[in-house]
Amino acid sequence: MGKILLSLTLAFIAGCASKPSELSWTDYQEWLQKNGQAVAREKVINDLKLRAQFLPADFLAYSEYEQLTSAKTGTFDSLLKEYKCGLSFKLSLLADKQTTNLMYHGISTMNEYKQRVSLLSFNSEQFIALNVGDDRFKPVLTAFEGYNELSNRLTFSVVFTPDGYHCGVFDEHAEELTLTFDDPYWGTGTSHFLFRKSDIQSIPKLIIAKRSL
Amino acid sequence: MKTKELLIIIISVVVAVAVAVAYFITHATHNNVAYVRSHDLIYSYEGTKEAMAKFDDKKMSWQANVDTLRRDFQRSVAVYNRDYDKLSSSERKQREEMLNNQQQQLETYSQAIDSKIREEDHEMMASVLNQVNSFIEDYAEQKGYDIIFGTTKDGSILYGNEHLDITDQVLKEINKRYKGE
Repeated sequence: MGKILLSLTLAFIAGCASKPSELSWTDYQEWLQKNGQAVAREKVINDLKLRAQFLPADFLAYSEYEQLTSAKTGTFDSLLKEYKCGLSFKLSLLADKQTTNLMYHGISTMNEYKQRVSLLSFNSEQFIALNVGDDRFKPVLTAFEGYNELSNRLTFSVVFTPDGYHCGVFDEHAEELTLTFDDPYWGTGTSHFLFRKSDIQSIPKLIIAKRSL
Repeated sequence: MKTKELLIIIISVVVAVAVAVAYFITHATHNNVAYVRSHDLIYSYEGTKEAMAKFDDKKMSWQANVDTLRRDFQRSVAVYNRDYDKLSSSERKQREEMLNNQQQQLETYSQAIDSKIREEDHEMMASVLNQVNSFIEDYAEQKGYDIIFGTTKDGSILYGNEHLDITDQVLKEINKRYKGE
């Protein structure tokens, strides 16, 4: 009797402690919202909030899948396969609305503004990188999502394909990934955001219901 | 009955006074004032070390350009000196003008680089200090400090008990934060 009780208690504790391994889209979004801190890092320097978030392949693949009007069976799987081959991050800079507009901060001429727009739009690999161990990797894909004047926020999306990562599988030595932002304009210096392989691997898998054709 | 009430009042007053004294002692002895050795904190901070290393790399590459231009100029002067006897006075004048121009360009470039180095150095230190100041503000709030002083060699704090020195704790935390944890 005692053994049965002990087994039941252990099973209950294990059940409570374990993370879900598979979730539906709604539950998945909810999980990301609740547990976003596991895959997001924040810093506040000089009243500027810097936020780096890892974007799981499942999330990106399903977001694109949802926008497709004529998706066939297997489309999600093929999208997921593609997204899995890169590590995607979103980097945001957010300042108080009362402070200077982030796009114009420290700018005194039109030429400086043009240079800033050009650097942010087309050359973000000059100031965003991923470090795995001693190796530094430039992003293979970057997108400046733009400036949101209402929230005084700048956002970048970047994708990396570092050597220690093979389409969803990490090498043993790639325990820690550090996203690095070398601030080109706002005086916050260099910021590192550390993501552990275990945090990324703990994200549950998304299970989707097949669309009717 | 009256004696009993009086006794209760006396006991209540004694307990209240004891609680107040205990509260005062506990809170009065809590160190809500501390100091950090600014120089040690800033120069042992990983952010400063990394920023300085990057800055030194940039500085070296800019100075290498100046050195290359200087060597070119020195070579031109040497060639001019070597050929001096063979040159006519008009050729000498022409070559001297060219050398003067080259020297002026070198000086202008060198001054521009010096100014760029000073500017970058200033920006680099300002960014590092922004990081340190923002962290200290956050640290003070989290740990309940009302004031954290920064001591400097020529500053106004002449003495601080070692117990109030939180440099090592701050350094440990700020380096952890810098790594992105």
